[in-house]
Amino acid sequence: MNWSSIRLLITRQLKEHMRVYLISLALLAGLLSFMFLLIHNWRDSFTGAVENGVFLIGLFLSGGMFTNSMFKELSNKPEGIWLLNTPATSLEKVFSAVLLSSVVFLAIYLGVFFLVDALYLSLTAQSGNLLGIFSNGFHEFIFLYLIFNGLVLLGRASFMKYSFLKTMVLIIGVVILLNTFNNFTLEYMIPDLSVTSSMPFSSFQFRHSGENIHVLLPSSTRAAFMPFLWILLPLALWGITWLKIKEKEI
Amino acid sequence: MIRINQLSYRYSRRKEILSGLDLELASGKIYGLLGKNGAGKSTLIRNIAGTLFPSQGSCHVLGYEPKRRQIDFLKELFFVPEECFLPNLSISKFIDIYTPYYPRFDKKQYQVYLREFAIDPRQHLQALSFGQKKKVMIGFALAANTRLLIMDEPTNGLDIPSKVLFRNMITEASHPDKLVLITSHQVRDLDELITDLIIMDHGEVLLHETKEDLTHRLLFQATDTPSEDSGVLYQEKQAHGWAQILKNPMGLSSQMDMELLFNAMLNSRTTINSALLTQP
Repeated sequence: MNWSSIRLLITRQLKEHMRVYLISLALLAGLLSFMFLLIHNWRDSFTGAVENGVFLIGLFLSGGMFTNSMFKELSNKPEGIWLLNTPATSLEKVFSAVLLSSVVFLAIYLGVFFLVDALYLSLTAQSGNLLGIFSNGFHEFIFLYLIFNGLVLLGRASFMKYSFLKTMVLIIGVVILLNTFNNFTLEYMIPDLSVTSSMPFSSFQFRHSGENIHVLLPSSTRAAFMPFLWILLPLALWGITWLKIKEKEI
Repeated sequence: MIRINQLSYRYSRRKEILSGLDLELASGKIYGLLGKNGAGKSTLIRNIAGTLFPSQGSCHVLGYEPKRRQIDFLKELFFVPEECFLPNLSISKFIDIYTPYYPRFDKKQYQVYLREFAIDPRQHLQALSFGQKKKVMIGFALAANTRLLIMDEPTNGLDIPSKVLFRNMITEASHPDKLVLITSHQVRDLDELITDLIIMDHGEVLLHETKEDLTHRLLFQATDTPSEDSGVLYQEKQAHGWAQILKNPMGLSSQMDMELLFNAMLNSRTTINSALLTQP
């Protein structure tokens, strides 16, 4: 892998889409401000960590759309030929797309979010603190974003038309399927238990004597399992995307 | 420079586009690849450019396998597809971004081409007409000075003066190390340009000869009336009489009518091929 080639690919991507990216950045700041405004006006109706909710909506919505702009050339033949014949290896093309849509995007998103959050707190004269990314394991959603990023890139490399919509439908379908399978397995394994909610690979909740009881994986199992989920899974998805781009025919 | 061995390409099990093609193309030449719609021209050049992979057989270009799309191969290839894509940039930014990819790109040469095509380098690519975009792309492809230049229907969308300019540019840019492969439906656009002719139909190569050999072995002439002479290999009615292809045992010189030869190969392939084989 050649770093000057990666620099050229990143420059190319940014310069070709600069106008759209700048407009989207302003739109993102506007959307986040609007959501904070909603929270402020209906603050009595919202309880809990609403800031976290705003952060996640903004992250997955804008991150999904930005990631989807990588390899957009593959959605039509002349642009696809242009991309495939650009003198850089498939690995460099995928690496630069991952770098832009994960590292660079996350840095810019965090910057914009905390700027809007700080403005919101100062304008509304609230005593609260800025969102704590590292409190209560909230940072795990950043890793979840990396998995989402891998899925969107893989969708781009796999589907020629409507790749984002198709990928979203597939992701939602798989999540529903996993959840249903998880509930079914829990009911089969523990038939007398009244399970109220469950999260595949993570936890479940049941009612016992009028109380909700939350069961988590043992910390040692979780510690062994999480690196796989948060690091190896995105790496695997980016790797499959690389293979797809390498084998792409147009 | 290009060696194709028993190359077959299938879109599906039932639909075979190319079947068992053998071709060898050398550098220093300008090849014209002719064929009807659906003859397999674009599929062949996309296999050479590495955007399609052979179903069977092999294709080697400059010692590389195009399907591997190695960076050194891509630096030596410029492919201008029929519908060319140009990014959302001004011409000057386009040059800044894309010239570093091609080690022998000559910016001065590109400026000359733009001037000859009457394109203002300050213009935005998306503001250009289809023909102007094609000119920008053709100029860039020539100035990139790659060893292999492939153009799919390059004259589509060009006005008549630009077609003349295009022919001159290609001729001037030809080089002993460079191979130019051009496909076209518009046979007359390539008439004076090419050195070698390849005619394809139904995924097969019907003819692959140098233009010099063809004019040496075949005689092209126009007459007022059709002829019954056995020396006439093919004839067809045209607007002002009849055009004929004859055997040329005396080696007389004539102006090759590519359109006539193309029709002759589609309609009387065996007669033309046996005449080419039997003549020295």
